[in-house]
Amino acid sequence: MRENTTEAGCGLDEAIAALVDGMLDARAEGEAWRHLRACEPCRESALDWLAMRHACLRVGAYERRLPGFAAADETWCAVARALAREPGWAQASGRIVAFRARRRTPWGWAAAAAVVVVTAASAGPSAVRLASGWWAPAAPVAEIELYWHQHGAYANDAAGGGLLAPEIRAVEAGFQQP
Amino acid sequence: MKAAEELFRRYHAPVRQLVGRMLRQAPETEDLVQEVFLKAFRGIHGFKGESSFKTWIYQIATNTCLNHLAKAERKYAHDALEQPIGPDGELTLADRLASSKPGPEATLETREVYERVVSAIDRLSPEFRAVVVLRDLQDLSYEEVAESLGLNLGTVKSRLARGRRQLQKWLGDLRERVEGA
Repeated sequence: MRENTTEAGCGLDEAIAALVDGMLDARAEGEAWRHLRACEPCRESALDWLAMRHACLRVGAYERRLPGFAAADETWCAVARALAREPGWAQASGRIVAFRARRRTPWGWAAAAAVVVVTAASAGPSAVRLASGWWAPAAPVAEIELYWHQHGAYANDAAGGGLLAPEIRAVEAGFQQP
Repeated sequence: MKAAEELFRRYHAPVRQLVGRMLRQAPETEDLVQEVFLKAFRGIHGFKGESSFKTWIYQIATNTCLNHLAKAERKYAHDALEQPIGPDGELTLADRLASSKPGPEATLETREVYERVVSAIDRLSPEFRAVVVLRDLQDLSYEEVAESLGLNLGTVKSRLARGRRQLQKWLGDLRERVEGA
């Protein structure tokens, strides 16, 4: 660390962190830049933090690609085995999953009602009693299936491209401006 | 079970990273990862869908890790890279990192930078470490970090700034390396 870097700065650490993260609004960012141009210790901190963030993002992306992170088969097998021993998971499949979902869509309600009517008409009251078991309690796996159905396209975690060294140099060059 | 598996595969790596960093790659890391997913799947009723599954499972992971750390009597070795791993314990994590090939685009400039960054993060207190891992390693927004940790935005900003100030003490010369890349 450079010796002229302050320990506590000017009390603007949160602003510097937010500047590095691009989280300041235009006015606050302008103020932060004006301060950094005038204050060498804070400027050094900002540049150090920018470099640290750059390195951390790359470390994060790198680490998640390591074999130990990607090859999760053993862990998944252990999780699946544990879940399979639980009633709500072992039984869940097909239409039971669809009808035991707690947050049912309008189409789901309509389909459930139709099944009950058809079941009652064709197989009698005992079958309806059996079918009513589909309503409660909701099986955990049904919740997950429903979530996945509704949010399956949810964006995956960004790998964290981060700032590149030239961008850091460009920011540093900006400090030289009057 | 397919959806659960898809969710597991989607979130395993980031959760594994969060737990690994929180526990400084302690041997029980994978066990806790397993526990996190089991808690998430078993407690899916508690997931209201108001937040994303990602921040919800991160919250479970963070709480699980903090509880584990609070209970743990022993202190983890700071230099986790030298802990033996593998079936026979003949390798260290450092050896594995050196031999792993995640692809040329993902290769860091030097292994030394990786080791320095992770060991510096490992030195942070768990509260600061959680914020730094989620923001700087996993690139979550401030709002997502706050949601994941059950903190307000101001606390996240404060812990992030203080965490970075501490990291700066240990990674002070990193800038020259990055700029020289």
